[in-house]
Amino acid sequence: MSEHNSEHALIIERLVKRYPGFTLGPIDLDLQPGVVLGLIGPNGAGKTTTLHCLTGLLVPEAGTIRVFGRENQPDDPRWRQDIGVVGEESGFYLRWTVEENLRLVGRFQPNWSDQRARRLAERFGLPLTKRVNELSKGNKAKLAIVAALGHAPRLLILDEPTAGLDPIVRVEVLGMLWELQEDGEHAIFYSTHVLSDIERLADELVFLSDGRILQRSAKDDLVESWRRISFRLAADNLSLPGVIDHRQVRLEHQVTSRDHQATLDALRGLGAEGVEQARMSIDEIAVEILTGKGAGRVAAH
Amino acid sequence: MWRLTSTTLRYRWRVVALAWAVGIFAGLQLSLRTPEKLAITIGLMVVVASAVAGSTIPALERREHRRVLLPLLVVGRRQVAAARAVAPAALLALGAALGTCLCTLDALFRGQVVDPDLVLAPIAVAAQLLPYMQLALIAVEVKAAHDEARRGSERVAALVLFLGFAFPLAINLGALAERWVACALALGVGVALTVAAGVLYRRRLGFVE
Repeated sequence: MSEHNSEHALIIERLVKRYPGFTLGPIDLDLQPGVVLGLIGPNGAGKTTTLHCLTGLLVPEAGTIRVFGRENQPDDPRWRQDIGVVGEESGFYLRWTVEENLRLVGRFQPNWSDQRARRLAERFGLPLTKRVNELSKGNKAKLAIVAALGHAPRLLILDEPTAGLDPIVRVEVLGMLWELQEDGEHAIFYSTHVLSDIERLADELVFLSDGRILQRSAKDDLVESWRRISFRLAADNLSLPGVIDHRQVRLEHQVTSRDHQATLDALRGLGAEGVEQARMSIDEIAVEILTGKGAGRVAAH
Repeated sequence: MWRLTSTTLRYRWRVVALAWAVGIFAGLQLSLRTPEKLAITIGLMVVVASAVAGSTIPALERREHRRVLLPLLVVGRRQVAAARAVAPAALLALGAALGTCLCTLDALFRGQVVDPDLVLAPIAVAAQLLPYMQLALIAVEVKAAHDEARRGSERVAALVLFLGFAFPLAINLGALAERWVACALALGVGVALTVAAGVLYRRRLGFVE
């Protein structure tokens, strides 16, 4: 384990950003190196606002943000050396070629490696001599990722990086991110509302709604503990542990449980018959949490 | 700051070239009947064209969402703010330098004594134009402060906007008739407005334009 791993990649403390009619926060989050954290929420939940605060595009009303121990001071940009940012939009110089744009980014990044950028571009099949305004949407996304990785940042901040990409490019991009996190050195902060994107990548999920964190959980814990359970039982008004949704037609019951073990134990005690359980996808779990049914516990990290 | 400014100007070389070409063409047209004033006319037109081109740069940069690129670069907000305010002025300065060179070369070519009043006229005009160019940036900051509900900053920016408009106007209306004094004052106001535009931008709460 490198010495970098001994410190947090990112610490957000009491972050607040106010707009007329919307307040983000207070948000408290931390991220360890080697962890991919997925920030999930519907449109308008505050995901992009959070990421803009992280990248310095928005000045929060309160709170602090630290990247590998360095506070993100507006006039001391050294903290930017450790981050790579990929957003929905790219601000590249449209009439310059891919190579010229990468060279430009390199001039402003002390840790930039032309070799690394070139290697990544080649791997992605990015045409270096093409102008940015001639690139397809997929290639623009690839350029954004190459530009964000050319200085080998230890924290990658991604805001819907696959938005609008065709499935083939999406898989390519996700595959690349998957490889990146394999070394255990990089932390990735991934914001999206396309849950299938982070289903494979994320280690932890943070559910954001109306500017507030509803829940933070390890992805595997969520997938493991949430179940849909059906059973037969001659009883009305059942109160079962962990159950957040209950449907009943005569003797047939179907429940959604966020703690299936506790629910199954209770059912066994009640003598339920024909008990069947099915795993839920992250999509289904997220809907339950974001609609308020499953957000009863704010999971400790 | 200079690296950011020079990047912007290098990228916008087409705008600069087009502006100067239009300036030269306009100067040629205007001096058809007075060929002896060819160089000074072209010089002044180049300065005016540079001012127009410089004023378009912030909008052009905004159209390409340049702010999204900034988180990738290790530059401080103060540098970004300074570069944003200086880029249009730098283009104007380049136009003034070109105009002055043209006038000097013309005088030398004709074997005349170099008349400072004539040769430095492009610089004098550029000094007078600078405050008006920067007022556009200040106006943007008034709107930004209004949108972010920063009432104090909005009032300060509006005051700067008013003074920045009124002061050069008073100078030009003849309150200070001495030409070089007026130019020096206008230049001072222009520089002050450039600094103010940078400071006001630096104080923004959001850079998501």
